[in-house]
Amino acid sequence: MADAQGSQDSAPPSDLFVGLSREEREHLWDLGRSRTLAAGERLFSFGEDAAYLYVIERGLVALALPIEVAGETRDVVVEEQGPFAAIGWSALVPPHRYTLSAVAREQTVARAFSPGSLTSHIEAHPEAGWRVFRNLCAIVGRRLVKVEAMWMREVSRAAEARLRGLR
Amino acid sequence: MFLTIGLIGLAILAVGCAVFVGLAPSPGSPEARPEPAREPSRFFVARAEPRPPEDLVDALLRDLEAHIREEGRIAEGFAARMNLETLRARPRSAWVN
Repeated sequence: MADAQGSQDSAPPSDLFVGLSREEREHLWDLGRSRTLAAGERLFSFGEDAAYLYVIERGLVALALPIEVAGETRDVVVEEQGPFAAIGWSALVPPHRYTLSAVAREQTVARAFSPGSLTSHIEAHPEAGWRVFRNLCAIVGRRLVKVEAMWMREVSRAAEARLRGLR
Repeated sequence: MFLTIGLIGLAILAVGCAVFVGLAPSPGSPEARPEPAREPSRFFVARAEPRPPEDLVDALLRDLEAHIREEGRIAEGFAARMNLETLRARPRSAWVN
């Protein structure tokens, strides 16, 4: 990624890094390690210990919830995320268990950050850390509002169906 | 004498066998069935039911994913504007229509 001066910026413009200087972004980026996944490879599973937060560098990741149908549990895709999205933020949020499963839709490169290294860096650089956590809150908040809206629609439909049954 | 004792012995044996067989529950009788669990496992009950064909389940899940995608799109519109009107959009998916 090239900046206004034309020099290369090694850290991508992830939502997690909004408001950080280029130097801060690069410091944070260097804490991670890139991982390449083949299409269909699983990054993490619902309910397991959240060992890493990921920023997608390239590719596409399907996020799925386990839904029980006909006596067996199947992954149902609820969202897809592409380049620069931060996923697996449960690594930084108690109880540190993934709330979705993540599977690569195509060949994907994701940068894995351990919560320990991120936390140490954030404690050492509180101003940058505050921005990272503000960004994290925005990412979690977006998910919350989206799920809230979907739930409102489902409840509204259930109420209308019940009303029809009472008439 | 021996014949009489033998016949009486056989009769006692026959009556004993008849009583024993009569007390045993027949395979189809209610006594022969295992006592149902007081809180049957949701998973056990589900597996005991006849399973729908696999392609039917796959088709259902594809419909469900399409529905969730569309609901997610509408929900993102709501999140961007925080306007309740956006939640009134009718989904095109067959899941709820």
